[in-house]
Amino acid sequence: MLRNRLAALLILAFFGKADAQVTLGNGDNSLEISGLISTYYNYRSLETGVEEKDKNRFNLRDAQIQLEGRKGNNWEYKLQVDLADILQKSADPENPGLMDAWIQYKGFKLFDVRVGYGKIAWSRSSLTPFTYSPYWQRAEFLRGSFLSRRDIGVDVSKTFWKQRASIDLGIYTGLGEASLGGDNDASGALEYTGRFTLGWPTQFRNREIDDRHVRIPMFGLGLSGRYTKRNLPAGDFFPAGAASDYGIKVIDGTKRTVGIDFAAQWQGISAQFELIQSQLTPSDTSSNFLQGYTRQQTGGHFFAGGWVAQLNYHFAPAKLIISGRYETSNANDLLIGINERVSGAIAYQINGYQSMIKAQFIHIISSESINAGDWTNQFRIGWQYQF
Amino acid sequence: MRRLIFLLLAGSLNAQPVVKPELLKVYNIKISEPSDVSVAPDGKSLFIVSDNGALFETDLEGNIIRSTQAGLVDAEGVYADENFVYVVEERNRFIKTFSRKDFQLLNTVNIPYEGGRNKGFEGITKSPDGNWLLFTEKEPVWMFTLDEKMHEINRQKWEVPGDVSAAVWFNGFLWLLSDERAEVWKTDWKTGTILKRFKLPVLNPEGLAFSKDGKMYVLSDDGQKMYVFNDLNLLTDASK
Repeated sequence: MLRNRLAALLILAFFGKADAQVTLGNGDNSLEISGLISTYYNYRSLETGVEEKDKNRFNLRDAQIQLEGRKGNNWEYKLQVDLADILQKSADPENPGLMDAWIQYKGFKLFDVRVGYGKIAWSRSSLTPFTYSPYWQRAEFLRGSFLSRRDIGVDVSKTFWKQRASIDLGIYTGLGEASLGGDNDASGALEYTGRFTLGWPTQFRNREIDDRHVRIPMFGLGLSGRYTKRNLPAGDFFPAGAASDYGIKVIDGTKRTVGIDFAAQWQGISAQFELIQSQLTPSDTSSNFLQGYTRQQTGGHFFAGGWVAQLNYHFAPAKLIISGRYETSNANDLLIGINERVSGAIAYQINGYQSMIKAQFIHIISSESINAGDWTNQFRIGWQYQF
Repeated sequence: MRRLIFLLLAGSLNAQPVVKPELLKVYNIKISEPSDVSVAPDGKSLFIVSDNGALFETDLEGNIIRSTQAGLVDAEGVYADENFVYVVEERNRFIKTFSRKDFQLLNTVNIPYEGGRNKGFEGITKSPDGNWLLFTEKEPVWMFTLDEKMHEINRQKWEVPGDVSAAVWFNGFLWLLSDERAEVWKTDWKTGTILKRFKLPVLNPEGLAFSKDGKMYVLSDDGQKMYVFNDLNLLTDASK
């Protein structure tokens, strides 16, 4: 009897629909209220001799509220906050407290303009919403430690050729998520970004999984570039957290970045490839970043970047997504070693992406000396629920 | 436990066989983001609406004859009769009535629906008893029944294996188009069940209509194309 009741409860939970998005409108202005809650359990197997097991834990990853509106044909706005990260005072650029606060004007014939704080148009992985991925974590070099994912600034965009192609040009503070602190750094410099995308035979949306099982093969290509030159006056520093874990997110000097990404999907199979490479030239020719090498040896710069390849399958009858991923990155090519990881993910779609159980396994194959971690394997399982 | 696992897996399995319709012709059309199509009652022209808020009359090959924007926003459904063209705005939950003669906006009716902003009304058609049938896209799929004066008289939830992006009454049946599934469904409108599924070789299909001789018109949003398929009743066994 008890077993039957338990089974009935489980069925109810698994087939329960998350249809709770609400829209308010007055005939001209429409405002949609939605949100996301996600929780996971994380387990790490540690390097020999490491004792701290504080990452073996339940974590409330998301407690998001999203307000998204449109007024007429020309105005759009979005405000998205993650209460979990605000309360935790999280500085994780992959999962920040304020996620979007921008307005967009679409009334110009030549281009659309977006002003405010939000995702920078670069990197297919960064632009793909977390909720559409079977993974709990992006590739390490695309999580926001090598380059910022969000910033305050202006983005001008245009789609053309029957929406197959698009171009974005942006100007931002260059401080990334740390821009919310208020002031710029003492250099007063900005960052310039650009991205071009091409889809064939039609536009290719920022999605990892072919849940539509398209009958015609689809391809998407993206080319991205970023540039900033920041010269700090002697004795000045970047705001706390701006340089992030590896110290390369912003540097006193010049940072040029190029990226290329490619995606394809057909009949439930999908694949993504992405490569990012930054050339960083410190203002100080004797900077620690250059590891004591001479200008003749390094040209006065070092490189950071990486590439990731991912293969996915959407098994519709069982509502399952299966995915595998390999990534390699290098935070400083003048340092010994590279970071290599393999990951696997499986997701069960209770109600599409709205209610989904996701499990991810990461194995570290090797680490760069700057990134010598204290764990070798990480397993994460949890539930995301959008309302 | 085995029974539970079976139930979980079986819950999404679809028993209906999927049939491939015969493609006759593909037309490139000069309408950005077309979202629905309706055949004029005389069968001589098409009425097409687009996401960016415009109404067009075209010939049967999709060449534009005339158009109007007339304050339209996010138009997702269209239906034409002898005298009027009815356009559904997804986001604002409006049905706007235009004079067929000169595209003058005559009337605007609000159909309240609090669901997702881009998961609102996508299809409009008329049942044989003269009532309007209005479909929401997804999460969930609702069929609103409105009387001739567009007052809601019923709301029925449909459990279908995908979204609904167009609805049209033809030949005694209600036909639905699913964008995400790239399928056309022949349905029993009273029970809300799918009788037959037709798989389309179309990316992002958004509009559905039938001509008097049974040809099926499907629009592709992204591709700005119009696909014409042969009468589904003429499918040979080999194509099934």
